[in-house]
Amino acid sequence: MRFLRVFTLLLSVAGLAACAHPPAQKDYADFRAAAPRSILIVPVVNKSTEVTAPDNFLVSLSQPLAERGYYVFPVNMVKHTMEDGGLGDADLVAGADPVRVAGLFGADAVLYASIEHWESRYVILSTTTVVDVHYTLKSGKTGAVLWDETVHTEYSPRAQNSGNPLATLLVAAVAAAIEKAAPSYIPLADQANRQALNTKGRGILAGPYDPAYGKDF
Amino acid sequence: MRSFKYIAPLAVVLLAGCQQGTGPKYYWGDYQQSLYSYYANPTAEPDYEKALGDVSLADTKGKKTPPGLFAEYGYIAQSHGDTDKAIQLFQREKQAWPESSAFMDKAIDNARNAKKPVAAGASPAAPVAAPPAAPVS
Repeated sequence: MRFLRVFTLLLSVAGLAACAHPPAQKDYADFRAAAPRSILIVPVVNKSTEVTAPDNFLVSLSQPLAERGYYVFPVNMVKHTMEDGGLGDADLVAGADPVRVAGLFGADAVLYASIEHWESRYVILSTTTVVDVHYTLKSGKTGAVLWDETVHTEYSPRAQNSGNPLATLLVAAVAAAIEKAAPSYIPLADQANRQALNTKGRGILAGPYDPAYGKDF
Repeated sequence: MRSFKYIAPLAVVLLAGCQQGTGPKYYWGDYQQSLYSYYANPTAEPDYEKALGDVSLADTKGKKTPPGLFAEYGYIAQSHGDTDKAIQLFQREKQAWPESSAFMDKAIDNARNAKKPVAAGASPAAPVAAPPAAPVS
């Protein structure tokens, strides 16, 4: 029994350590007080030279926010509605008054994402993409920042191992070349979003359509 | 071996502690990938529309359509001049999600006022044009 106790204790410590996250927990007082039910995702600001990056991020944000329990406005319809209203430029939207932008759609909160840095490193057999993204959630009623986070993430597509070293090498080289020529950044965007939105104690609070609404963090 | 009896449930509890939420709340189908392909290449619009059609039928599979997607489907229908279908879908979005009411009311008004079919939205893959001087008030 003594062995069991020690083992259980060690296991508990290991379990807790696995959940621990080094950066401090965020202060959610303003977020909780605002209690947004709906989130408007506006066009993504791009400070990198990767032209397809903003669309990758725009497309990938609805799902994690909706699954977190929020009403998420239809991104494509919103994008075109904004373009028709003279708000097609992401930088312009980012600089506009959040209360006014939110008011056009009746949104409780506005989510801004900005790609700060983007770099693909092609090293013989693999392409690693390194990206920094800054996310900000602002109140649609007061314009105040409710939550913000910057993530740094790296992504390398995996090549299949065929068992034959030469073939594996070729496959890896081809995969890396394809990734360099015609990259699909959706997995990378998903990874960055997950890290930003779903990290316990750092991500966004559960929304009204989630059972944890009002109870988490 | 007896110890496993204690350790197994404990491990489950510990792992559960790390998890956020359970399974997905909604049925997304090919929505994300098809929208991205459409942005990359506007000729892929039919696949995007098909994905939205599929997602809008989630309830027939015992699943739920995600927020925003009835509206997206309606928006595409409207861009093809199918105003009745568009209005129907905007109303469905509003019923499913009261948070969308203000936006859907505007969309329904716009669709009703549309004398002629609205041209399909500008190619989303094209670089964003400089906006007019006066922003929306």
